[in-house]
Amino acid sequence: MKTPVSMLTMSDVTKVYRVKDSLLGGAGRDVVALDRFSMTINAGEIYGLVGESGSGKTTVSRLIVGLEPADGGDIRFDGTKVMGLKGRRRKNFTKQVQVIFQDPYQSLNTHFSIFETVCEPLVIHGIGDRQFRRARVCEILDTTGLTPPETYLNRYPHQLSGGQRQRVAIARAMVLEPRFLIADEPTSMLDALISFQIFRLLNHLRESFGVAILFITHSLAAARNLCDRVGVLYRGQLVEQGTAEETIMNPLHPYTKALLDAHPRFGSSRQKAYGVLRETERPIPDVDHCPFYPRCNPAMDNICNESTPTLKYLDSGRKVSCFLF
Amino acid sequence: MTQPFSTTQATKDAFGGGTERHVPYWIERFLDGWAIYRKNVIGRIGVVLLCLFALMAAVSYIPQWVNPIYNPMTGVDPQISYSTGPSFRHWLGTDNIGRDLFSQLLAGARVAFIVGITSALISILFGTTIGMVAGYYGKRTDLILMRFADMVMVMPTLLVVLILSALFGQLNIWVIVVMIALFRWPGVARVIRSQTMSLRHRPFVEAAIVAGASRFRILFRHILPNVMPLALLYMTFRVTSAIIIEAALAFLGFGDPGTVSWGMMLQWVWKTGHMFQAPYWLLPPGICISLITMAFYMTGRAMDDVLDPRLREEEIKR
Amino acid sequence: MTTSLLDVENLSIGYHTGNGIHLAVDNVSFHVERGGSLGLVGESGCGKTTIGMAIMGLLPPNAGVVSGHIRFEGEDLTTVDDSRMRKIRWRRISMIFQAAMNALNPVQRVQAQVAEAIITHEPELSRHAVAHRTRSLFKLVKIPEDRLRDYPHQFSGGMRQRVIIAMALACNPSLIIADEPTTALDVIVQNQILKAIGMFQKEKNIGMIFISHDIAVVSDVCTHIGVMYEGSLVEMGRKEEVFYCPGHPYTRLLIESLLTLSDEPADLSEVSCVIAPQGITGDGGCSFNETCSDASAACRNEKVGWVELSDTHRVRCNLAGKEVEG
Repeated sequence: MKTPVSMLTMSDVTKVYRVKDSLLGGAGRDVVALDRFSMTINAGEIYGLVGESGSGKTTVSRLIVGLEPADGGDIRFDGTKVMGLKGRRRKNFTKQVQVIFQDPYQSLNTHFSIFETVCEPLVIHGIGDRQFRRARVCEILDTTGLTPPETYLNRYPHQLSGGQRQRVAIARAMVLEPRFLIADEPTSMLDALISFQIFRLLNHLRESFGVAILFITHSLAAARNLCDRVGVLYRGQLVEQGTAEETIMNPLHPYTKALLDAHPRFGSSRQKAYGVLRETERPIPDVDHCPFYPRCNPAMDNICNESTPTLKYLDSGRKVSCFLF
Repeated sequence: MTQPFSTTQATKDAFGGGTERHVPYWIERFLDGWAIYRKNVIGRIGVVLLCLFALMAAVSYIPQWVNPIYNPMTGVDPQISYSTGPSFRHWLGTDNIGRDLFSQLLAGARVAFIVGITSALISILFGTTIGMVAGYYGKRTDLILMRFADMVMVMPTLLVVLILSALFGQLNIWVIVVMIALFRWPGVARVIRSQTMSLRHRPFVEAAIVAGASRFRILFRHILPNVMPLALLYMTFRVTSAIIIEAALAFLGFGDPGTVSWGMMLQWVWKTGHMFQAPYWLLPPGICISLITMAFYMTGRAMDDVLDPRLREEEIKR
Repeated sequence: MTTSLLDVENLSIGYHTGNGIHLAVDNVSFHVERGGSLGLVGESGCGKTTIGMAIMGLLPPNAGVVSGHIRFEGEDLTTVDDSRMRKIRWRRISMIFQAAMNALNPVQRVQAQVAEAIITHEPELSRHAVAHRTRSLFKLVKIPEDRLRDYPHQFSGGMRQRVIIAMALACNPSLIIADEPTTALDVIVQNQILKAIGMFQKEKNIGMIFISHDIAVVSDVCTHIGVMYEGSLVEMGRKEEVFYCPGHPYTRLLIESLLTLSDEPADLSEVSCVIAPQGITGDGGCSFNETCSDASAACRNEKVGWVELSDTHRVRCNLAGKEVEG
């Protein structure tokens, strides 16, 4: 087994959004989107980040590509700091890290033809002449399954279906041959059949180009089928991390168990339920506490409600943030 | 995928829209918009009126070419030394020194178009650029630019222009055009700014940022095409106000003495004391000013309907 | 013989477009028993929401029933007039909407909103009876008593959805149409809502049509499943039959692409399959032939009919029966 080469490291990254309460609240309150979040992604792997909406998983992607500044912590790509990159070094970074956004209906400029859309990164980075660019765009459209590519070049986004648009978005992200791709819920707006094809495409890109993918999703099933490793995010904290197979077949953290319980039963071989979710929520303690404490059944009083658990490394190479382990 | 690449063919296919099926998107959008526009009665009236005025402006060169006595400014009918009513020789009559009123009216249309459209264009250019920059950069830039816009906005345009022309004497028509434009951009800037602010966080703009696009590229390649329709809409309203301001200035005697605008015609009526003696002289320019501003306003209103996303949606569903 | 609660017969619904009538629903038949639940599955735009709207009599002005009947408790809803429809709607048939979270009035307490729904449709009830029913409704959807006087913004998305369900149940309807009621919710909340829906449906013996694009969600709540493709029903049967021996190639594809938490991960290695355009589909030909791997020229041109695989399971594919035999 090859030793994994780490490509992207996030250590103790914190992001706080200040929400202005307009009329009633008076002073603004802080919403912690990420709380001392750490993660490492290795070259050539697909890492799944799972969490419900509002858990901060999209914030992770926005911080990595610099759409928003982090409030604390460190993000490194190939050992160099990512935050605050400027000029040529930032351009060099954008060449290697690309994003596929959630909504293919919003992420393509309606005024750009498919050729212009996919070609734009090449133009920005000044790669190739007109002839080379055209050949490159055709090649990448072909790779992403838009065949024959010539028929798509002069079309506009509104003439394509959702799945085709998402393929165009993937082609735009892949045209620079990045080494790291962030897919932020790429299929949440698409139907099951098309989602499946997009997953296949992502897998294919990894196999043939060796691109590492951060796959952000709310579905454990998608993470299970596509990813090598998964991390489970709850209220801005990483609560569990391990290989996809182990984490889903043998979850440790109560929240992961709750997620698995909630997954539609059909087609799943797992019969027993973990039953970790409380019927009625406990009151939220005033002091530092485990974020899942109010909803957690096996939580221990006097421990879980009095301090925040830290990420523990288990022997099997897994990490879990829970006092029960 | 083996395809012979000749540069010409590649260029043609990629940029020329090789086959008929692939019309550029903006043309398609324009045709779609026109289809909605055509259903709007107010818009149709506006367009017909505008076409009539444009025709007037276009034929305004003909009378003086037929006979120099019809020159709106310098042409004087030697046989007439006082204001006369409509006749076969002078369709709308003459003013008190024998100049043809009809050819003056035609020349006025030309001036109205020039003044209205140029000053609207300039103010849109300023407003859009400043609005986009303020909306995109945000923070300090936004604060400074918008406070400045507020200051300009609260200045009474007419009064300031009056004071300036009183200071510097008679102003050239182009100076008036530029001054109107300089005072009328803040409203546009405000609208474009808020539109830009909402576009800035749209995924397609963020995708361009992630791809490494420069701010200049994002502003002019991604945001500008999306705010352009709104800017055009505001242009029609700016045209209206520019025409009215110019007419008011001219009527008050601060117009360019070298041009024949409708405002100037009104001023001459008033100055020569024909206000209540010569309706054939007073009414045509007055009616024309009202009609042309109304026409631009109606066109703008109808365009507003075209741009209204709710109406567009219905069109798509149908 | 008992008549079923809802009988939809050869229903076709069309939208008027610039060039003629576009059929959104084409010749669909199904029935729902009292206390039964039918799940309609299909991709977005396949006409499943249109069916729900037609049953509620809420089709947009540019759409209309072209042919067929909707019989509800023996009454044909396609022929009744507006005032009668208004009486049936909400009292006898109610609906849980897709974007239900926005359907609540932000400046009214949730209790009052549910009470209002009852009073509007049953004005003869006394205040006491209304209050009593409101309380029991909230108990049914498991909203704690101390939160009845809260405003909608104090509720989470899942709780708001519960209020909406309580409102849909307010007048003891005998049929409920749930149109993607959990699409916007998280997995855990979705599971809770599905449980709540399943429970009241059994407890009150209400018929239900559950519309969703997610075949796994439908399998959790429904006893019968209808699969829709481009406006027509292609497969219909009991949940187990449809899932374990799907007859239509489209259903098979849907189930194949369903990602599960099973031991073996799905095979993602195959290079993305590309849909190749084929010849024009003839009149009455199978509309799925473009994607279907088994499709032949015959599928495109021959009229496609129903094949009965069992008493309760039928498939609209000409190849289905043959496959079972050979």
